[in-house]
Amino acid sequence: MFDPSPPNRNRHNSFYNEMNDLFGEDLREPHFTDEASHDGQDLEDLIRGAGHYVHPGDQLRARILESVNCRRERRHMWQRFFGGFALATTVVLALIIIGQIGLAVTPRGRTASDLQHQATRRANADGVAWEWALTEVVYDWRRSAAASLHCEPAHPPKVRTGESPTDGAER
Amino acid sequence: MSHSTAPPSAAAFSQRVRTSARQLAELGEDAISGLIDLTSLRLVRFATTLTRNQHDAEDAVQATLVKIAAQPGRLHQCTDPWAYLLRMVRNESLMILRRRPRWNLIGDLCDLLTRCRVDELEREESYRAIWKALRTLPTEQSEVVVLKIWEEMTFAGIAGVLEISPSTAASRYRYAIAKLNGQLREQIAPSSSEDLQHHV
Repeated sequence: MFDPSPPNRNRHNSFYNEMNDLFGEDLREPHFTDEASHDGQDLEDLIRGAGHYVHPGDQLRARILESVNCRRERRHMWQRFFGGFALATTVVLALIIIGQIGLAVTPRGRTASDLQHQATRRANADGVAWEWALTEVVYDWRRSAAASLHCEPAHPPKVRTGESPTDGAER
Repeated sequence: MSHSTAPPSAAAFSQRVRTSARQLAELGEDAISGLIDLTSLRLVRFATTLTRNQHDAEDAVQATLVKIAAQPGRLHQCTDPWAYLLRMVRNESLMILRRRPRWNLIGDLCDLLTRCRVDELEREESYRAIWKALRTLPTEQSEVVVLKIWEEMTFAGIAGVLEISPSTAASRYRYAIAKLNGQLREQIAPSSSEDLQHHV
């Protein structure tokens, strides 16, 4: 870092050329004569030598590296926090969406009011009592539900020996 | 305008800073130590002339290099990374000065961490006189002197760092040198005679 080279007059020439570019005729003012510029050159050399008199403290490098590491750790911590938050939010949203889709797709069973409406229509169409129409509708619904589950249709109540099938109905 | 270009040593240093900035951009913030080793002395020296206190100057340099480490590609994208660094340090120094106004003890250099080689011990007094004299200058003039003499920048380069015109930079430099010449006249005379004896 230290420049041990002796004062270089070329530096002064380049400086004079640069000043000449900037000021032109003003350089011939009394306060910028050759004598003054010679003193200025000595002064520049003196100041140049003092440049390495001051040096940074021993702890500066360590302090900077520590600050950089702290900042990096803090950034990683925030990245982890935001990454985890984003992941959790995504999972929750996905579960909600899947649940909504599942509810929409899953066939819901027929409600009591559906059966009552159907019984009313059948009673009007067939001219039977509404209660009987409802019984038939319920029976049909149970049979179709059993068929959809690949089960055998619900067995009619077993008939005891010695009883006619109509006995139960009569009772 | 070939005579207005920076001296070879300044150009070489600028090139080394550019290389370090490229490494920083490629390797990330782990490569900041190379930039610290390369630039800390010069940056602290420059910031000390602005803040007139070395501790504040080191804080400014630390803040600058930490910011550079946080965005490693930023320095590499600049046309002149060294000028950009100087400008950043200047801004940080001015911010610290605004936050922490201090009483300036112009005659006091106790905040400086100094180093003097054994063969330069007899010059220590003149070095101290120079630093004291620099602190008596207005900041606008002392920063131009530092950039011109220690950083070997052209007036155009100084103008770029300080955001002034090259003519203004040159004028400030002339006034500063005239003032320093008056203050350090007794320091210049012995050194000139030493040079003369050395050449004889």
